[in-house]
Amino acid sequence: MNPKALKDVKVLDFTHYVSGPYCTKLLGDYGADVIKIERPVRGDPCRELPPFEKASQNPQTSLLFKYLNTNKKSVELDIKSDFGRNAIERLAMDTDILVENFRPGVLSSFGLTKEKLRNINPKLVVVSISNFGQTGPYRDFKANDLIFYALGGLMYIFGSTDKAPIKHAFRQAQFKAGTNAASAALMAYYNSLTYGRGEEIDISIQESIAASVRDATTSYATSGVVRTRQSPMNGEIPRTPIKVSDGYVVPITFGHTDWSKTADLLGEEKLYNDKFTTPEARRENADEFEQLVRTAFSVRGKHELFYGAHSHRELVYGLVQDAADLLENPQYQHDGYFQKMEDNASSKTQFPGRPFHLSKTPWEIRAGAPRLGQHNDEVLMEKLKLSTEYPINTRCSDGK
Amino acid sequence: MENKGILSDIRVVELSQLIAIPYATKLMSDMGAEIIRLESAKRPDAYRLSDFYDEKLNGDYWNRAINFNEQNRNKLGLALELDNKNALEQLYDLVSISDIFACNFTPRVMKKFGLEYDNLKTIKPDIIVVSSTGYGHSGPWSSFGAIGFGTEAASGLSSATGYENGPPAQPEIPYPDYTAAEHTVFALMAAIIHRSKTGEGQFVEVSQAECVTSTIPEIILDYTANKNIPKRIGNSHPEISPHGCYPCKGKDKWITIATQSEDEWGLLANLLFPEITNNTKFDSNASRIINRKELDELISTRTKEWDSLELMEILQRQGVAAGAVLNGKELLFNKHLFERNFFEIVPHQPESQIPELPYPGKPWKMSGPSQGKMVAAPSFGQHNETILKNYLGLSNKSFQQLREQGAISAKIDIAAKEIMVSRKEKSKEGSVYSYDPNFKSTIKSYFDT
Repeated sequence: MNPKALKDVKVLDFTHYVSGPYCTKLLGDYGADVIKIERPVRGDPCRELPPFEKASQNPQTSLLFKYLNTNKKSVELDIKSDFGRNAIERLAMDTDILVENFRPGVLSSFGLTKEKLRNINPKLVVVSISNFGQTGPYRDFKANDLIFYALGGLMYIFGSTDKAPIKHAFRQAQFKAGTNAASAALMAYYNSLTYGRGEEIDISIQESIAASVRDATTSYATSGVVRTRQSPMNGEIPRTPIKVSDGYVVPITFGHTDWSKTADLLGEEKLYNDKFTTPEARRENADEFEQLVRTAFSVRGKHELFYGAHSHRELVYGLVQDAADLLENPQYQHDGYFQKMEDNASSKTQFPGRPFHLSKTPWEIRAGAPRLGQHNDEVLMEKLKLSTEYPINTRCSDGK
Repeated sequence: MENKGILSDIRVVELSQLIAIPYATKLMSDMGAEIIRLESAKRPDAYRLSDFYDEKLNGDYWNRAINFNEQNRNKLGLALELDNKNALEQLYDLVSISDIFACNFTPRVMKKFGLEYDNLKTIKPDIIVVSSTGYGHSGPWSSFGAIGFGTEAASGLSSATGYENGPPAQPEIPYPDYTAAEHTVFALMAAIIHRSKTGEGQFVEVSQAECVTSTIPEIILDYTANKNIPKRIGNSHPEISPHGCYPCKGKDKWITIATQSEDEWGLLANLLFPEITNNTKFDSNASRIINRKELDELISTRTKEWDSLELMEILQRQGVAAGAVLNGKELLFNKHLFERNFFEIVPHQPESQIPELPYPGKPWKMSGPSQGKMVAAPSFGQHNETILKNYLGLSNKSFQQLREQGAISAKIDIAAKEIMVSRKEKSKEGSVYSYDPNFKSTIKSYFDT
């Protein structure tokens, strides 16, 4: 086993769905000990989210859950019960970082107020992730990724000006918030190592988006200009994915200085015509230019264009890849990026591996995602020395 | 520096450009880390050369560049020309008194200047070095230059994103730079913690594309398990309907609505079309998914009669997930973010004549006296003398010699007219939404600066 960056960091994990679990996954994958508290019987509802491994013997186990909960121990506790609260308070005494993503106020309503936790363990770092933060007029608003994109300012600058704004597929806002939560947790933990004092951290998923929309607000604040979405081609090579014979590339150029290189790459002689050699001329002949460019791209292959562009170095084209392309990608293969699910040797399922590489303390899966309640005995009986008669002992739901 | 946040014992030297490293170190500088931002007059950061405050290009325009100022607040600026051997020696000396060396140039550049981990650790044995590249620090794509639009395409995210039956789509920002930067901060904090316990530094390798792929496990899992490749479906959700973005009253105003239960659907339907009852086309989530297009059109005809913010408030009060699509100005003036003091009021260098302005804040709030005071982004070469004399102990004479040799720079020699692009002009072409000539007074009164 490799040395671990976050060896001996103890995490008490009250999170569910995506944002919180990604936070504690990052901590766990780089070495922290994570105890995930799940509500008895049902557990984290993420266990019910697609995709599933349809052909496997255990189709009810969400692959998304498996990805998000590597290197964690699962303990079933009912926070509302005296037994559960007592066990949690005892666990909190020996915890460095507590992470939760209940709706604001819910943890306190269970009797686990910030003051109480601070009393139990003054060096405890408490990380709360929520839709819009622990304060403010939108505090109790409902949301999912779509709503975060809208209220975070990213959606308005995403898509075409002649259509409704759009968002990224899947759950980017929640992953961003989970990543930021993990960073903030480590900053506060680092501080607690020196000063013995924990912090409370308030993560708003909306703000994780709003912090990273570059100049959406700054453009207005500095020049009075409100930016919008992508306008029609208008005489320039688009900096958006364009159709080629077998997929899409992103023809990234930096203004007119790269123009001749683009023409060279496409090998389309008509593009050298005076009608297209200056920005002004291209704008004047925008329709003809667009038609010519689209046609020139449509007959070339994506790899030919992508590798051809990068051999010029000034052209930094993008290659649109789907999952099939990614699994074949030589750079991802070089990095050993994709990993097999360990718990089922016959399974073909692979999942994303290290997001980044730490040379001395590498990313490592020490244990796959836990079954619900898999570590009830280990944590409650062996660690906390609670009686074998603890309330959830006899119904480890799908724990088997 | 006056900044005394919880990372104030960490010093970072960054050789960087654009966002992927500057945003990561900004998040750390906001928390008190001391960041020394290296620059070069021969190869200035592209963000020094575009988008200026109030579009004024006179004088030292590079100190009025808004994207540079946004990404580099609370940092010190040192302009070293690394082609000069003596300048490079100063950088090595700086590394010897630093905790982290952060770079987002290609591995070729790091090698050329001897800035690889194996070399820097001979200068400072416990140094932490981070290389953030588009695709990887070693391997077949490692020499490929990249900006966000390229890494986003490669990551797999673009393939699943876009209008139904349309091409892959990307937002109008270099999105993966942020995802990579957020992971870089986590990686650096993990490395710092490891070092504080063991005394050991290490090399951190960030691939911007791979960071993004780590946040879209869905496409990898579903493909390897079931051979499914997701279709592009705009704002629709494969399991929920209605789930979309609908037009509201006014120019380019929109609302997003995501009904996540039958109760929410009932409340939405009751508000938008109370006269329609018992329509079997929409009486279950399954039938609403089948009749998604018809339903989305029906909703659009009704949302058009509403103000987006007002409709959001009413729906949210009833318990329906809804969000107005905020443009940059609306985001800046959003009452929720305002009440949470999300935007940070950041000063600027006095000679730039830019007033204090609100910039996006940190993506976290921490209790306790842990946050530093906001300091203006450095003007080009602002801290040359401070760093070389006070930190590295150079004499006046040696400092003068470096200056005469061109090893350090104080200005950028690129004529402003070559790089002029007017946003006001762009607004006429439709690539920006609007231009507000009264923006200065509007901001001043709203944020009371």
